[in-house]
Amino acid sequence: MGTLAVAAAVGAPLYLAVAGALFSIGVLGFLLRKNLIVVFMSVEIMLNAVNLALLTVARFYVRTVDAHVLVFLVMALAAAETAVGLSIVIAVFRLKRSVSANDLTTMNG
Amino acid sequence: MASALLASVPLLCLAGAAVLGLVAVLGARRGRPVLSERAVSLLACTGPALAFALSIAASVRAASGPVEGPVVPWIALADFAGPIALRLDTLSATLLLVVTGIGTLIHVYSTGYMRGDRGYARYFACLNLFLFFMTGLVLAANLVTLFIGWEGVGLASYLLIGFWFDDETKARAGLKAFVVNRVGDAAFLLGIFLVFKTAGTVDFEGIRSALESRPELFRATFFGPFSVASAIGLLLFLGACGKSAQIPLHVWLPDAMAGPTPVSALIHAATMVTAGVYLVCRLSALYAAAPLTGAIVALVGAVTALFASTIALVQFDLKKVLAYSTVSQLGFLFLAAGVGAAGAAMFHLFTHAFFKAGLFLGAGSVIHALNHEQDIRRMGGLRWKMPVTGLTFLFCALALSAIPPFSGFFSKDAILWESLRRGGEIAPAFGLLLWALALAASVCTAFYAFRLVFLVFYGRPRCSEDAWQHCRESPRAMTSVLVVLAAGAALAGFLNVPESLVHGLDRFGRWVGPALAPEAAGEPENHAVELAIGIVSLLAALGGVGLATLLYAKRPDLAPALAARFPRLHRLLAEKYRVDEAYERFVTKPAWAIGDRVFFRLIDRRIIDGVTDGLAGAARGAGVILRLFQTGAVQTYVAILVLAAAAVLYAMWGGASPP
Repeated sequence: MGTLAVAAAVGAPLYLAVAGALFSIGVLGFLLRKNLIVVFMSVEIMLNAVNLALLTVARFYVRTVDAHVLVFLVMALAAAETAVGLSIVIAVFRLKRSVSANDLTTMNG
Repeated sequence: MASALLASVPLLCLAGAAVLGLVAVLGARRGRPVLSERAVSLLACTGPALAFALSIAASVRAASGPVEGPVVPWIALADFAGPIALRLDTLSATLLLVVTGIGTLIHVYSTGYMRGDRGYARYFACLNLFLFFMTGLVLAANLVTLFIGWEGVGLASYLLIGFWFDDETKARAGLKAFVVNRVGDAAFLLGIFLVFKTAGTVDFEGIRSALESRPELFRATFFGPFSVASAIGLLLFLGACGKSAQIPLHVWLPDAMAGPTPVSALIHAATMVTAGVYLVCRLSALYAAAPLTGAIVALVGAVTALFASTIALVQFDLKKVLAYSTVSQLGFLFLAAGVGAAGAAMFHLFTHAFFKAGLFLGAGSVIHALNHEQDIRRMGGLRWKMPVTGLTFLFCALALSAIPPFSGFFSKDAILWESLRRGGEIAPAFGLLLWALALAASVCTAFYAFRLVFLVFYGRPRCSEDAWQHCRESPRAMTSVLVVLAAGAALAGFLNVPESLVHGLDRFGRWVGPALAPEAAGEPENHAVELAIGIVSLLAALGGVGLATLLYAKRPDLAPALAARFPRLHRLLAEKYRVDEAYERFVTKPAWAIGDRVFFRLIDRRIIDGVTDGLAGAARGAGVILRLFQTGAVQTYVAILVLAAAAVLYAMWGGASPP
């Protein structure tokens, strides 16, 4: 049985449920974890959850390839963003000797 | 050619003012004069002297008919044209000659009087500026141009009253003059508006022809008993009251004596203060159409004449006496102009310019010699030290007292006679009232004039030994001017000898007549009555002189005894009827209180500041609350974002199943 057949058998709701679960994990990770690197990873999880949801909708309901193109764009951007983000984290660590979100509140009002 | 001639008269003075102003400013920058006093005096006297020469040339042309000057468009709206336009007729020529002639003399005098003053160049810059505006005022062909000159001379007057501005009382005197004049000027402006609304023009010739061609416009009722002409006349007269120091706006002129004495002579005696009279004479056709206003003008003039002359009886400040004398003489001028005798008013204006300028400059000479002493109780006997000043002062005092054959006799006698005759045409009792007021004022005039002569120049010296030793006759630049003015004061009267005395010698009347409203054909003049009235006024003047001789020369003990006999009257006069105090109490204080309580504390502080402070406070309060959200921790922001997104989603679907 090819992948497409499996997908058709499983159905859209399960894919969407997985996407929702991944997104929730990402949100919770972002909100609760203090280590900036883990926070970044949570952002990546959320991005991919959204990608999955987008592809599901495109594949099962809209049936065009536009969304596929978009997803590749998002993945490329996410990679670039991670590179920039990680270098910022390193710079922050050099400055503060810490990568905890709790130590980065100098912008408070 | 003629047009350029007229324009160059004020422009020469303006050029002088500009150059001297530059010299003064540069000098103030450097901290020392840029030019020597000699160079400054030369510059200062050139403009006025040339202007005087050109004025004579122009006046000769004006004798054969009005000379039109240049017309420069200025305010041009839909149907309103207010150009800057000049015109010279015999009326303006008279005042123009007085202004430039006496102006030149006083410039020469000032070169001596102001010697060594720190603001030498600034002084002459202001004086030249004054002549620029004054000649503009005199030459104006319409009310708009006249108003520019009118405000300009007010400015020059303000600058010169407060010339020694580091003395606060002097600076305040300038301010007072400016503010009091503003009151009159507001009415003047309203008058100009009403003239335009009625006649459709502000040109004097245009107003005159409108009065002739459409008199019904001016006869229409404006308010209560006032016709439109009366209302215009009254508004313009209020402006004239301010400029010419008539009751109730006379309070600034005595204070204006804070300025240098030559300024008092030129601006506050001979020329600027007569601008109001000139205005009334200029519009004599309008006032002829407004008998009610004419009567008011005459009455205000007569009352002011008596009122001010009684104050002058008891003052001890040499310049204050002369200031009240000026107010009183201006009252005479308005009396004449009000009853419609504009010719008599202009003639007295002309002679008054000589003798009052002479008196002021004589006083300046005395003040100069006594090192700025102005109290006549500390003078006396000065005629031995200052023979020229003493003699010229005596001549001018004789002219002021209206003793023949000095000029004041002819001009004041004409006013007394006209007030009785023409005032009597309104109502016989009214004429008699005006005449009686004026006659009483003449007695007082003769009295205070000779009180000054005796107290200052005769008797024992009452100044300190030191001052007496240092006192000497003023320099040639000053005395020569005094001599010229005294000669004018003595002889100018022969320009207009009344018909009742000698036939065909009323040259001045015939000269200025064509520029004035034609006299209404009344009953023929009764020469016998006129002569009798003349003799009565002569006796009154002699009585005043005699009384002064008795009190201040023969029996010096009598004057203090008299003051002690009537202490309340004496105090009332010495305190100038307490008009200043009344203004202080009923105008200044309430205005101050309203300004402080209503405009400052309520409107400014509570309402305007309240609104702005309230807005600022609201913004600040919002900031206090909103800054709580700004923790700086990125996770808080995201938490809020998530909650908000959840709230939005809940609001969109409200728990219902997704579509």
